[in-house]
Amino acid sequence: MTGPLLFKDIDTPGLAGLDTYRRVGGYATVLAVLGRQTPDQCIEIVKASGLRGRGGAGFPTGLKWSFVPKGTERPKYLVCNADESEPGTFKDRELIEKNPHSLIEGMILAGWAIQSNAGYVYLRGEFGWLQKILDQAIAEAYAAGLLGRDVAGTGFRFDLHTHLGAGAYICGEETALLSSLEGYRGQPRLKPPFPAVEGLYRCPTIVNNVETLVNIPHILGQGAAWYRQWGTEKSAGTKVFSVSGPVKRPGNYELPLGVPLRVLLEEHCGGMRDGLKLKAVIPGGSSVPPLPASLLDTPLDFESMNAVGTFLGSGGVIVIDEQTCMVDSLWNLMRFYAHESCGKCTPCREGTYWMTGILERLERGQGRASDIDLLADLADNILGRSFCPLGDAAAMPVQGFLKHFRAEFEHHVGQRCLANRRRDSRMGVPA
Amino acid sequence: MSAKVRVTINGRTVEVPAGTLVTDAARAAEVHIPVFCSHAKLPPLGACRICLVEIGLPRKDRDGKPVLGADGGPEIAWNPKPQTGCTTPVSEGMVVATDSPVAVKARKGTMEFLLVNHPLDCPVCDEGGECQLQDLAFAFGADFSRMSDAKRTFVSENLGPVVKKEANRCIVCMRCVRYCDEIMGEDALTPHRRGVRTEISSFDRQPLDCEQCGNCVEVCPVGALTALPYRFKARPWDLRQHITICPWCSNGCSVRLGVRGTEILRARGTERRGVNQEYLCVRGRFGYGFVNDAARLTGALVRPPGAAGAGNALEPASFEEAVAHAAARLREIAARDGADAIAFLGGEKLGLEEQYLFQKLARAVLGTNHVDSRTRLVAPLPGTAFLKATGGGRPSISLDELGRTKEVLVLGDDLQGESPFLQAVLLRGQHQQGVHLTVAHPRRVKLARARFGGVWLGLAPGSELALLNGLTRAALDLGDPLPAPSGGPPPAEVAAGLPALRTALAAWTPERAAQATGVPAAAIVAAARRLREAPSRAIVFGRAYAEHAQAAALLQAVENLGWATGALTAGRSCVLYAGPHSGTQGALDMGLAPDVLPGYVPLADAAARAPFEKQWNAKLGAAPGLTAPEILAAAAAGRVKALWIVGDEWVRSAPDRALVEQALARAELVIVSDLFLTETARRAHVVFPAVSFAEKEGVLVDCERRLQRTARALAPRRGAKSDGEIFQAVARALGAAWSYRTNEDVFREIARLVPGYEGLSWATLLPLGPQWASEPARVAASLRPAADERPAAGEGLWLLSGGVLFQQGSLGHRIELLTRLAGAACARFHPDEWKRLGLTAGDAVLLEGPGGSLTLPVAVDESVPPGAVFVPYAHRDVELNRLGSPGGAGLRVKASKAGIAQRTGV
Amino acid sequence: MIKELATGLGVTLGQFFKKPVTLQYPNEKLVMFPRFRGLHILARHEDGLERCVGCELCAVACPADAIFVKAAENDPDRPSSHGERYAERYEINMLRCIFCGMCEEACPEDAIFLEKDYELADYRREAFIYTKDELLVGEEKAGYLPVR
Repeated sequence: MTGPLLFKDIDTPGLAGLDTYRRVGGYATVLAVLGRQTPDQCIEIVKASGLRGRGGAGFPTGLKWSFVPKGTERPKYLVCNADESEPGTFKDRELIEKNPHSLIEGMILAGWAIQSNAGYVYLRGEFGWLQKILDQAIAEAYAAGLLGRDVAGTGFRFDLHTHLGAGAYICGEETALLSSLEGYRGQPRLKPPFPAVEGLYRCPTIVNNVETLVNIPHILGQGAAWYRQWGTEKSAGTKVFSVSGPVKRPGNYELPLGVPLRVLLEEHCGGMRDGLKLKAVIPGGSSVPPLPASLLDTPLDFESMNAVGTFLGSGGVIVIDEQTCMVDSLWNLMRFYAHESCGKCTPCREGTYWMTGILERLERGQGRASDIDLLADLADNILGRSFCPLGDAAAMPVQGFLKHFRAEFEHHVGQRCLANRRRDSRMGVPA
Repeated sequence: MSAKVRVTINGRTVEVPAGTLVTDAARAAEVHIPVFCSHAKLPPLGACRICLVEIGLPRKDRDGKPVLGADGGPEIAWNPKPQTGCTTPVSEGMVVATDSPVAVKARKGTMEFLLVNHPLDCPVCDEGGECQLQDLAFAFGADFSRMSDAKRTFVSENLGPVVKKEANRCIVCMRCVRYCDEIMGEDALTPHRRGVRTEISSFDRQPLDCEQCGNCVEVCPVGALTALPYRFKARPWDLRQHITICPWCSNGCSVRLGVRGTEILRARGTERRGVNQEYLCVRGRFGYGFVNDAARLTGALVRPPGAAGAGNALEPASFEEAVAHAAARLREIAARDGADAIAFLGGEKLGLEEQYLFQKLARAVLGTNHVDSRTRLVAPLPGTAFLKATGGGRPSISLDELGRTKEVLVLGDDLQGESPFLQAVLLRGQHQQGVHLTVAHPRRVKLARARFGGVWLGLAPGSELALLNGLTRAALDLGDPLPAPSGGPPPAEVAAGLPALRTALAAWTPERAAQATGVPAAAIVAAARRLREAPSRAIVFGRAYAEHAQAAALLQAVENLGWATGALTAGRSCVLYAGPHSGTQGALDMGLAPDVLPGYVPLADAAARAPFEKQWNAKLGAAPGLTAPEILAAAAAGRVKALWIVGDEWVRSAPDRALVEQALARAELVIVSDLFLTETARRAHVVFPAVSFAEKEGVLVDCERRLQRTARALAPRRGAKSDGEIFQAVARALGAAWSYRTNEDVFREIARLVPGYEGLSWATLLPLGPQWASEPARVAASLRPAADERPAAGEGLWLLSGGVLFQQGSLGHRIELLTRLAGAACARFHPDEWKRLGLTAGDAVLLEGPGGSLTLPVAVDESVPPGAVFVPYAHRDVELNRLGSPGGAGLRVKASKAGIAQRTGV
Repeated sequence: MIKELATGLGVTLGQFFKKPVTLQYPNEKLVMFPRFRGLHILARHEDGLERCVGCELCAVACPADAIFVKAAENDPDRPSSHGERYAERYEINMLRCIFCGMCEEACPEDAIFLEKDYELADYRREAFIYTKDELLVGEEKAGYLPVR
């Protein structure tokens, strides 16, 4: 793998070790920035760079940082959201696994910018081995005086802890993550107050995605203008895309924002494998509506994706070929959301369950014609009415699938599709 | 308070304080926004989504000026998504629509989702008919279901003896979990699993180990949690509902009795009603069974003259015969031995009007001042003692304000057993309003638990006075008594007493107090500092001090501390006495004490006495009568020959069991009015059948001195008479011209005559009566050294006692659920003491006190300090007065192993 | 005149040979039409358990306030009805009943029906309070539902 920025040295052997990381220029920004630039200057640079959150929502990072109240007596916290649980997304995993120190460096710098003395990395429950890698790197950084009471001799105190979740998708939502981090049930909290004002232990807290934080050393080290050489006006920088599905070379690709989807899939991933034909692409993790093959030339940036009715999301690009049944795919997604709904709010808790039942019926050929409109109406009733975005995440794919592939759903009323029957016969399921 | 803002809801504009939630503003605008997860006592959650409304704000231009629309009005920027009304605070110019297409569709959609997995088993659900889900489904739901797939199911569970859980009906509003945690401080419920599989249960799925208050059932908007005692008993429309006041303690909770036919089937709280606002404790909610007990007295009983014994048993008599007999005997004794040979005891469980009549009967008709309601007193106390310690009648803090007071000192009582609602007020305050608790108690009672963030002053038993002196001294070291909030100086009496008090307390350095109490000196100083320096403060005490052998000194010390910390000021009292019974405060107010007339008018004051003499048309004796402990001694010695005991199991409540037996045996005439043939009634010569709280109406005064109306929920049990009727009948038989038709007539007389009650009428007491207060104070304050009485010296273990939640006096023994929950009474020992006595599980222990002995089964309890034994006093099997004190305060007992415990049937 | 007399007698005579309208009640009984509403029955499931669950919807629907129901919880070992709840007491006051059939309409369990029995006279007032024993159909009629 390679890329212009984050993935530039990613495959350097031993990069997870401090020495190698320093050799490729690591921690230089920490030494250059801490105590030399004021926190406000740092925030201004990040604002000017146009960096937007890489976790999915795309909120401007510098702006978020500037919401942290100044001059408060309460402690401030920096939390790294490494609960990478969006189906189809696996960028943070590679970033932490191969280059843990870049995350540590990013967190030290972000901690400096918001004047926080404690950082937490919240890892998803399945990332046990990453916690070991990260803990190892953190220990190295402590030993080298890059973390702790006196970071790099600047007098700035910054402690870093890792925390392993218990395996819930909802904990990727920032307030649920904070609840979980405090030891409570992982359920989202009311906003406002936003975490930047009242977050972890009711103190000002910034929650940033791994990829966002990994960008920080580069931006503060090289400047906003340099960073803007990649990307578009409103979507600056690069983005790691995690491509999965029947392409020749699936995997993580770091590309400047604004690159057309077709370039990613055909040039970088080598096009479809086994002569399969592309039917649809889910561009930003399972929570966003899919794009049909006809929209493959859409540039991969926040605005262009919104223009075609979907989102850049977390950059988890899921490729679906012609032989895959869309009803089955949506059922599969919906089972995931019904399983992961935290149960706090009614529309998400009950709606995902109900939609799963309807999709199961449709997929098995027992659906009714009215079920399709019912699905659309239920998605409409969930969208925008749930407590947190999980409900939206379950409703948006339904709307997207129905918008572009309604015919397949109609075909499924009262019968099973060819793709299903073919798969069943392969797996020995009696018709 | 914050500024007012104008908000328009469905075209109705209302002005509400900024920060009001949209749902509350809608209530003001008389627009209905449905809610499930939102609850008046809990912070907003926003989970159920049924309150979704469309919200718009005036569009503003760059200068912050509202943009005007085509019609000249401000242009409204509608939020693209519907918002939850229960979490959104209003702001100026906000426009809310609950009837727009977006809002209607959102609400309808949520309603449909709520019913997706709901079993719709309304016909067999106890909530059916008063179910909020049912009501809102009728109001907003579709008339058919689009859901045809299988519903998820759970198995129903009994969560202990009170709560039945049917999780299929649950809508996961989390009210129960949050109420249990934030208001009860129990944290007994939790959600298990997630998503649609979320199920509320206890942590370990075992029966709930909690206060069994049933408030989770109360707040459940659907039938997921229902009360087992009421299971399938009736449908709500069968019940006549009567709101009255709970009889189980002095907190004055509003309780709604559900009556079918002649039977009370349940008791509930009522949202936004009464001091308790829906809260009820286990006693209030499940303690109504005695009303319909088959063992109730249904006619008068009379014993022919002569000693009790074989051949001289109580015989049924008509009410008229019993009245005539009682009157004749009273007249005879008064004529022969003088009125001073007659004494009146009890009355703490009566209504205000009956209390007034009781003492009027004694004073005006019979001419005796031997009247005392405080039968449990160990030491004689003047009738004004409690009022004086709580500010002499100055405007008192309310329970609502107590829940917002920043620093609260709880003295001596385990509020869980004595005043459950007060405890809930403090716990809620602690959780939601930043109340800091300081609990002075030898045991680590619930309020003193670490999780409530307070400070526990675990004083050595018997060192209560030392602690109060130490605290007062530390508070006075910080300065003179504080001025009133309005800036007024403390009263002259306080200023006058200050030098002497300072001198007397000079010896009570924190170090000496620490040595005497075992509480670190720094903790005493810090507690005093917190009390003095907090923005608001209050002191709560109760029966533990009232029934203490050193009660007089303790009450003076509480008053000293009140003035020293600013809990008492010239204009306000933040010291609460939470007495044991619903009528404790009323009895004191109505002069059921030997030295004061109603309204704390001193008998000795001829001018103040005159209006009473005129109204009652009688000459009143100026000399104070005997207090309850003195009456006990006088009766045992034969000086008091006739006793009238009303609503009081004197055999158990008098401080000395042997003495009380002797007094009852020696008295020529004992009249008892009660619901049951109690042990005291068995020893009586005339027994009047009285009615219960549910069968009469009147007024009760709670611990914050709030007057509240009680209502009649049932016709009186056939044959039973209200105490007022009994007193009036006897008074008339004695020649008095009483002609009260109802208790309201009596209250009119009270309102005319009693200082502090002027101008009140029954009509002014609904829905929530006022707290009576008096300017100037009814009783002058004083600041003087509390008499340094040494507690009863002696050897052995300190006897610690206290209320338990599930029992409170003799009526509690009649309720099967409460006795079952209370379990067997045990003498509880610290592990060290347990070892020293060589006890093993299943043993019994013999406790010997100055008054006698008692044998009890034993248990280990780490909350009991070493050198002490804890015995709950309210159990049926425990008659603590056999040891020499009904409440066990300030007593030392010898403990010795007494073989294997005989298991009683409990 | 003779002619008129004869015509009249002829009519009378003619009636001798027609089937009489009068029923010899109580020796003969009228067969009621299908939708007649007479004395109530409480029906049973096929397995013999009572259909009534004691929900009291009949009682609340009754415009004459003639029905009294008191529910109780089934003994799991010897249940009276399906589910947890059954009617411990079920009484209809036939002096109040107006045979409107609202109870039947209201019943969610198809447990109560107004049947064809119309012979409700009695000498004692108490006899008009029909108890559950009298209303509940026998075990032999388990599963019986009237045709409507």
